[in-house]
Amino acid sequence: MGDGMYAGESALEAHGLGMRYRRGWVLKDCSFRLPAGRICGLVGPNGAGKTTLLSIMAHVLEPTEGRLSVFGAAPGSVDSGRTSFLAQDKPLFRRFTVAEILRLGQELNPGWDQRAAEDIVRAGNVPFDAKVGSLSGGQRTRVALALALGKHPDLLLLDEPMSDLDPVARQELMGALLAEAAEHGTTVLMSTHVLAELENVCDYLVVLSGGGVRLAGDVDELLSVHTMVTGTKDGEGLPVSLAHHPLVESRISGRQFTALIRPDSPATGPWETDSPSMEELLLAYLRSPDAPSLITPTAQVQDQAYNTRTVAA
Amino acid sequence: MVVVIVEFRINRRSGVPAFQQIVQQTKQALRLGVLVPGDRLPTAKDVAEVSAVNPNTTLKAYRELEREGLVEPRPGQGTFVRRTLARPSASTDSPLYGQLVAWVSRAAEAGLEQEDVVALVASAMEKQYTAGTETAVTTTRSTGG
Amino acid sequence: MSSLTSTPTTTRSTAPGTTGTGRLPQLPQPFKGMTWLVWRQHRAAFWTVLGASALAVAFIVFQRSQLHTAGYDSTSTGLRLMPILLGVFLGAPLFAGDLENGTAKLVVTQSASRTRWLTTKLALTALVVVVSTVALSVGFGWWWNLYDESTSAEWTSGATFNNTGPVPAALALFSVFGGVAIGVVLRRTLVAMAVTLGFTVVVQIAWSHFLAHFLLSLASVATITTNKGVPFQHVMPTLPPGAHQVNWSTPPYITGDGKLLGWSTCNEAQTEQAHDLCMKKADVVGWSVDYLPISQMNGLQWFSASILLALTAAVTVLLFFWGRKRLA
Repeated sequence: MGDGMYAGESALEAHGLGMRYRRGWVLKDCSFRLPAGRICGLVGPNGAGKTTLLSIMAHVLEPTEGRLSVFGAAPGSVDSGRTSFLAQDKPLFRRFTVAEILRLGQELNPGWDQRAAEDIVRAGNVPFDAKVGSLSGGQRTRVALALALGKHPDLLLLDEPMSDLDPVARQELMGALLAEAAEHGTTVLMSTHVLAELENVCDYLVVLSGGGVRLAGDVDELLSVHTMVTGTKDGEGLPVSLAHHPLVESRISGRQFTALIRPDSPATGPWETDSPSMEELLLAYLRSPDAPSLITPTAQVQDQAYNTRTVAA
Repeated sequence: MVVVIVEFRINRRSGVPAFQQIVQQTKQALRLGVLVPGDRLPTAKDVAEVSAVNPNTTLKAYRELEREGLVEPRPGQGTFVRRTLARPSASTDSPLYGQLVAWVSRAAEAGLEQEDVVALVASAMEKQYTAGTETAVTTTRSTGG
Repeated sequence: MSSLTSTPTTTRSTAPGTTGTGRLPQLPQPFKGMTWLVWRQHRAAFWTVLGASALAVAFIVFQRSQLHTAGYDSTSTGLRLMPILLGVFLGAPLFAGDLENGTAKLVVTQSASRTRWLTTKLALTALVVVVSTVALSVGFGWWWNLYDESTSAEWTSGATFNNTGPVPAALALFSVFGGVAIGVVLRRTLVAMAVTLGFTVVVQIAWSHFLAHFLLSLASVATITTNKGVPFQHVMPTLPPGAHQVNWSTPPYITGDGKLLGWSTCNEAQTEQAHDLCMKKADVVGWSVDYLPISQMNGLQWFSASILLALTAAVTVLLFFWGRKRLA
């Protein structure tokens, strides 16, 4: 399992990835790295390119430009390891029974773990002889997850995995997923726009916005380099003495100001400082598209340090 | 060897990181004698499955407990309790506890609300322990083992 | 919040399902791997094609063995519709369905390559198409022999040429693979089926023109000549069974020195006497009729089938080199 600042092997490396559809660029110049064994949240507003990025990683789409490597090899090649992809709409053959869906996994994946897949289905009381078309959204997701986990992937890509689940199923399936990660050291990359879903689950974050990477790195590291400052308003805007710290977002209400900054030196002054929560950090970046992007050293690919702002670890 | 399986209760809305909750709950169990030396802590997989907590978070908490000398990893077996935090003077039948009960009842007679009592206790604790967090750890480590 | 339960707990709060105790029984395994998946996904369509063909073959064999010719014409029409039906209902939805409802993503993200998926789908579909069309072709060919003797249906007619030998299989394969390619391009089942309907109908029409205006000109022409004169009743010499007389505008009369004269010769003669006299004066000694003998049929069928199969191969190459990237 990964360590706080552990760099180690790369599960994913994106070098200047770009994707253009007829309506224009959806991803542009995306470069970041995800170390192996991490559980990473992929966050961004709708249309930020999350699904496109995951599809490229799953070898469903070919990027227009740039390069992606999965465990050091091209996606889809033998050396890239096993990758499971759970697409957003959880596509399954509707006329297959649940047992037949698992049989599909068995027939198409060498090293398939039938018992593990059956356990996930059984834990949700989903009947094996039911047709997929007759299942509820939660049951469908469970079967799709069983199919994704039955091959014990090295890299698990999940696109909005829990969006159609009730809280109980959500907790159960997240548990099953994290247990798999704990047991097999699986690297997980999951997109979501429910930020609360990420708390306690992710130890790595990638924020996409406007087709580019805004924020990438270890959660603890990202939180530690940001400071939430709350104080009494002085004049029209923020206190002048705060101005030399890179600012992510500031809000002023009545006599009070709140600012998320990325201080180079300790930001001491007549105000209170606190470290932000993951949700506060993400919201601040999502709300301010003009804030400078931040890719921490463990999330940088080689040669990237020259053109991206770095922080001292 | 007695293996006790325990379950952490991770509160997602408390604002306290899961890592700290695991450390605090383990320490609390050690203090209360629920966990005794030789007990095995739940594996990262168990915690992940039951509480949907990132296994890296659990391992980080265990490393913190290990750093404090409270637990030790045994390769291939899991993480085991090394020593307890339960002290005779911290149990509910100690004289210190009796004095505290007496003080609380005097405070109630003096008309203090529950919040007032908590604030007073917290203030007194801060005065006594604030500078000494690091010291306390060092002390316990030297007395342990 | 910071309390810890010491009770031994199970790691799952849900009880095991009543439906899922123990291991699943092993399903019968006639196919393995990708073949299993493709057969399972399309088994309804495959069985429908095979079953309907088997019924039609049974009908043909029964009629033939009873020496009946009833239903021959409608069967022939039905067979000519077969490439259209196969293209629309088997070819077009083959990948369009998966692309439309996302199951293509599911398959290409398993451990098998998309080349394997494409190959298996095309191969199984081709197998079903070939088995059913060849069975029908053989049965119909057998029936045609009988029909031919009794009614002298020409082998050059579409109803015979396109429904026997290797031609039906080749026509059906081209229509189906064309439908597959249309499905991969359009990625919507219904739209692909509609466009494929248009495509296969055009193929049929173009093929009839090709047969009538080009293919038969490649056949070597045989000539039957007589030296018994040409009677006033214009009774032509009998052609061999199934033979196709080439062209009515070819001069049908031959003179003593081998010259050919056209139909207009002695047209103005109103009586038998005048006609015979006129013919004699023109030195017409008998008939000279060009025809395509049935012995050419087999060669022409294989030649035309190979053209269709080459087109099918071109579509297949297109699917592998360009379509494969779109299969998700």
